[in-house]
Amino acid sequence: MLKEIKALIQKDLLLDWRQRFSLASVILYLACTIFIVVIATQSNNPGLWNAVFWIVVLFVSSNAVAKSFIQESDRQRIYYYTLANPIAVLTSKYIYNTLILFVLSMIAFGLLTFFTINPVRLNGLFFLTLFLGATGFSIVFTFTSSIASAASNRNTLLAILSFPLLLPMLFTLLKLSQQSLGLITDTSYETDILILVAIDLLLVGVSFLLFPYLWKD
Amino acid sequence: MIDGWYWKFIGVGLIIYSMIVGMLVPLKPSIELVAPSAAKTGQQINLEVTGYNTNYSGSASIRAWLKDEEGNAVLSKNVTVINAQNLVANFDIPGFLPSSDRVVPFTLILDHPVDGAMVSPDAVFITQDSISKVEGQTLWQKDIINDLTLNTAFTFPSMSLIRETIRNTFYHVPLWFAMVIIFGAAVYWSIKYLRNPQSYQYDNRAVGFTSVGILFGILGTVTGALWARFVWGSYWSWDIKQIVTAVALLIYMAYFILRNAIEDDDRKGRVAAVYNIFAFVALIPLIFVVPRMMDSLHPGNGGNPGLGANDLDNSMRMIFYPAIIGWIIIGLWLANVRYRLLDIKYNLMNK
Amino acid sequence: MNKIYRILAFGFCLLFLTNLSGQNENQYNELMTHSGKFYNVVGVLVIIFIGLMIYLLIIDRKVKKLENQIHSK
Repeated sequence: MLKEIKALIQKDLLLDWRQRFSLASVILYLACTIFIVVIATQSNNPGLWNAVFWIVVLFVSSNAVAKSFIQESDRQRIYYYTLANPIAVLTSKYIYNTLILFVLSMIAFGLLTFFTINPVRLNGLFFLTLFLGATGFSIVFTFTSSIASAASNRNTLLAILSFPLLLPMLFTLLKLSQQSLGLITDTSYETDILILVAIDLLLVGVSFLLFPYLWKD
Repeated sequence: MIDGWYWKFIGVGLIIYSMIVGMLVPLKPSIELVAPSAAKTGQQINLEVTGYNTNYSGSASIRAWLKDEEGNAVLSKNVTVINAQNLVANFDIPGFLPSSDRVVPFTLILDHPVDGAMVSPDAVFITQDSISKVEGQTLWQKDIINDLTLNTAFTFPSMSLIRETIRNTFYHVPLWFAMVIIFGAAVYWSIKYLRNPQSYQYDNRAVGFTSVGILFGILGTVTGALWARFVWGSYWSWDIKQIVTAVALLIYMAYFILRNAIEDDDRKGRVAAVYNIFAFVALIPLIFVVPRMMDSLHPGNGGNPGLGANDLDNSMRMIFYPAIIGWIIIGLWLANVRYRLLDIKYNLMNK
Repeated sequence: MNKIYRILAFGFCLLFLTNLSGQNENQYNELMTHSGKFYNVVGVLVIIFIGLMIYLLIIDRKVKKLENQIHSK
């Protein structure tokens, strides 16, 4: 199982390396979005910075993950299915997408601080929040993209299926992020971190139970 | 499973009961307005009291007190009744207050032999120029508020701002409870369908329940908005429970869009069932965890996502719980009609 | 054709209602706040009734579609 997961992650890495342009296009998309947003807002307000940052990360994540299932052809999928266990496929996608999204949100953070300011006060908490956000986004986007891949008009469908599901997570993420920016002071952020981890575990558990049904084509 | 007709009548009966009793039971007589709301020590003041649902003219022996937080009180000299809703209570405010603060809020208490005791918290703010707590404590007396009448009539609590709209508890709140239960039923049938992909009826049931859940969600949101407009001041106030309902509606509308976007029937049912279950699980933190962490205008916030003990008294419980059961049954009935229709359609298509 | 008429009639009703509430906003606020906000409760009941009627209408249309299918067979 672990071997399979490792092999699948390597496969994803290799595929993305061969199609560097698709990943580069996501990064370019990210850069353009941030550029436009910074020009549009022209402000050094940390509250606004927080909102802009998470909106950019949300939209870029949805675009980056859309590649994982939606861009695979049905034939490719059947081929993987004969080779690998569906749980291993899903796990490898979760891990790989978490890494990609974490890297992307780091790039977003770098670009946004380069263009505006660095309002982060608690670095450790902020990067932990980024990582938790990447994990949560990766779980929801990966799973909903596997759902949306069954339908036509996939990219729009991915957005409307996944954005409402992300809201509970976003509430806690925004709160943690505001805390790391020093906008609010709340001593009990351990609970928030625990809630995020609990949500992630819950969604991972349910998706492991449900994913085999999506693969039975 | 539910073939008979009797349960539908139980549901309708419970709804009719909640509507009739919920509309006809009067509110407890209470004080609506007290003017003036400020006074000075040593003054003689005439407090004009406006009551709500009161019958002041029905009795000659109405007593009135002004009382502070520690129970130091003064009895009114005389109470003049003007009409059923209005009376004037005459007070001689002593020269000193039983407190070392400059301004002290006093609560007005009225005792009516039939309507019972009525309280208007912090009705009058009394200012003192010279402060002497010791002297004040001799002028104001403890334990003079006695023989208060208890109104034992079947009434609903009367609160300022809320007033008659307290009856909305029986019509707006049960919709939310019924919505959660109906979405839960949709998840149940989705699970059944995933386990038995041959039985199309299960998928139809999930669709029926989801559509009724959306109906209840929309009704709950719109009725809540109307209620909020005249109690909280605006139709939408980004309260956590409003957000939860809005997110649930978005998710389940996406469910129907997903169904329409898939061509193949078998695949449609399966993928939709998977999304239904996943979405409900993703909603669980929003329904049960996040509200505990956020302030809410709704009652029962801060640690309790339901209703607190103080928001429902026994008279209201006798209508509130039947109303919840009634709306759940009505939801089942609507869903039942809807999925029977879908079954017929399926049979017609595949003949 | 029938459908278009129905939609038009519905639109006019809506227009009429919004016009009414737009012109008499003060009256509307007064109605909703006088006598202990009692008409707020009435409004809530009316909304629930309208919602159930709309749902009935939707089911009615679905039954009609089924009937047409049976007839055309």
